[in-house]
Amino acid sequence: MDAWYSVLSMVFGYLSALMILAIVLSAMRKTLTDHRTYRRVAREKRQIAYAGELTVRTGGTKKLAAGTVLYIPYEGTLGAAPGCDVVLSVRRLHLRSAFFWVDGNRMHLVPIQRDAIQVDGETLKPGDEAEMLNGAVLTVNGIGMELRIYEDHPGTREKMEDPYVTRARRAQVHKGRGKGIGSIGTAGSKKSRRQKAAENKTQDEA
Amino acid sequence: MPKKREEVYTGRRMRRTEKPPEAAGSVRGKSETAGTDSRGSGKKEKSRLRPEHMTDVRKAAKQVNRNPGQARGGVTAVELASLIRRKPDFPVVLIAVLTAVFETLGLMLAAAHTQQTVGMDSVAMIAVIVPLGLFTSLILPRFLRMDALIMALTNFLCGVGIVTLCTVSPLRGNRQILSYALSLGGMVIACLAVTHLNRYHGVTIFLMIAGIGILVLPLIYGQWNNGAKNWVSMPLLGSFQPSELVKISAVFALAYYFSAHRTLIQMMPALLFSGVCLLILMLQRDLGTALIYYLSTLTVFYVACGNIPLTMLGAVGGVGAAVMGYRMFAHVKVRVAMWRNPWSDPTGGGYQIIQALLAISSGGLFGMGLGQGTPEKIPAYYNDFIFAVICEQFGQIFGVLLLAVYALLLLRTVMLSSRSRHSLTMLLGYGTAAMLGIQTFMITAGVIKLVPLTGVTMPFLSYGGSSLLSCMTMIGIVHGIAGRAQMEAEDGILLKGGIRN
Repeated sequence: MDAWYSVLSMVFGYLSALMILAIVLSAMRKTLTDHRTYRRVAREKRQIAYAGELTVRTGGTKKLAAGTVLYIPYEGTLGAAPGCDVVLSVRRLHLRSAFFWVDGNRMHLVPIQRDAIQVDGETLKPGDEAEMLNGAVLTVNGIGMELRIYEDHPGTREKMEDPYVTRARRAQVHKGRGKGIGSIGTAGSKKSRRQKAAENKTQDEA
Repeated sequence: MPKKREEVYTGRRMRRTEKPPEAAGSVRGKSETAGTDSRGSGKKEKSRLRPEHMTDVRKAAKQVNRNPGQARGGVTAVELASLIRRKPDFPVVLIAVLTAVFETLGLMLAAAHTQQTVGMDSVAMIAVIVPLGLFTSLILPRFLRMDALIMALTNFLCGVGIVTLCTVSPLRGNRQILSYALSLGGMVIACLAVTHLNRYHGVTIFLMIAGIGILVLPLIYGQWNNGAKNWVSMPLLGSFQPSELVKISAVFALAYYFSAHRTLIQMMPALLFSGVCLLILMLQRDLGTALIYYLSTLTVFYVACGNIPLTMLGAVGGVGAAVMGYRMFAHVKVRVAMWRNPWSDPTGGGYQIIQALLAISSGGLFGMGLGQGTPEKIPAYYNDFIFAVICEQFGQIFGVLLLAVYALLLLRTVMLSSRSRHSLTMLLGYGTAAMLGIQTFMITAGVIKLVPLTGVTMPFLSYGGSSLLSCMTMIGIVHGIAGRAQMEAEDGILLKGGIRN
């Protein structure tokens, strides 16, 4: 039994080495193929990976010439650092200048530094929350970019918690102590969410 | 010709619907209608998928499959369908089948080694573990949107651990099978929670409070064991290691409070939680786990904010804490000394590392065979040093490839996490990968004398219910992230009518 067991265990050892080699190669193939496919699909169908795009219209630099398209993920940071989701090679721009997220057909932008950020001509201070709709023009240190949210983009599947701006900051914006920009854009109104909710309630009651 | 193929495809759809696609409510048409309705009624029906949408994609994929290589607009329907396919494909099936073969042969050999015969016990073990592995790798991903590859690789790692344990310590092997079955339940719960949970605030707060609560238990009820006081024995739950379970709380806390590009002050709750955990672990003298927590926090912090100066400051602080720990704790000094020269005390402090190195070297390239060698000479051969036992029995090539499996598992986790649209779920994935990766590196490098040895378990392989439950729950979190990413990809493809291009 011992001799047979020794032979069998040795054979099993070789077999195990072959099996794990096959497993590693299969897993590697599957991982790489899947990754390549995803990248290709995301490149062709931007709405899978991106929510919209910013097209440079005015005041472009060498690295950011007019017509350059910057793709916007569903949330991220905007700044001069290469690690940002939207990298703007603009002089005197903070490494992380603002953060944003896309909710439905709106892009929310909150500056976190004192850069010259304007949305449709209105200057934003750090902590102000701007809701930009399709066609809104974002100006960062003199470079104007037009926003385009992809049509029928799915947005976030379910509205997750919104931890980006603290309650105190929101209250500040809504009470008008901050800049108080409710909604900016070609199709948007400048009413705060609370005002809109109150109006909707009145309409429902009517 | 691409044009001809397009005609064939469109023709098939038109024949099926017998109306123009838009009028008949094609994928695009339906979604647009649903979107309009939902806007009107205020309901969120826009992102809901219907079964017929999936059928459309599958049929389109099947249709295009007949003419492989065709492309419409650069992306084939097959490629689109592959992103949202739930059915495991060939590599996953191959891995699952090979795992089943490995487990069956290994458990039969283990039974023959320990009992001199293949009895009912081994048949029962095979009857439990093999169907469980096949079910979770091939069938469960179809229903729960889990990532089949990650599941198959995890099952393989668990299988290797169980076969090794059944050979060197049958009683522990049997218990490990039970732990494996139970931890699969934890994995499914974590997967469902992450896939469907939208409000993380309450869950994170609860996990943080519960985590601190159970982490202090060993300080009150625990007993010193191998220089640490990190185990606790409860009347109903049995003995467990709280620091393993608190890893889940740490991952959630880090992801939640580091997500959404918060400021340093807004990140403070997670940093404080990590600090308190580290303090408690230092009091328990569980320095290996403390190091995992610390490095994971640093990794997630860097991923979240990309702030190199602050990360470097944290790293420097960690080095300072390590130096302080070296001067404060005697057993740390011993471990460092044994790492530098284990032969200075071959029968005392350096015994286990010397035995582990001898076991690895005696295994050679292809190993001594299952059940051969003398693994019991290594202290803690069933948990901390299981990698040395595997190298002795299966060989160094097998050991290196096993590390490759870990690397692929982590790579896949990172890839799936980077597809996530929310920074929270992305950081959950990165946190999980950091925890598992750092733990694997620390114990493997410790066993082969690359770094000083720390008393942590090898994920999925080592004996221990707490460790396995914690690791499988983290894998469940990754499955949840994968499921979420798949749902979002489905939305992106189907709502845009991507399959029709």
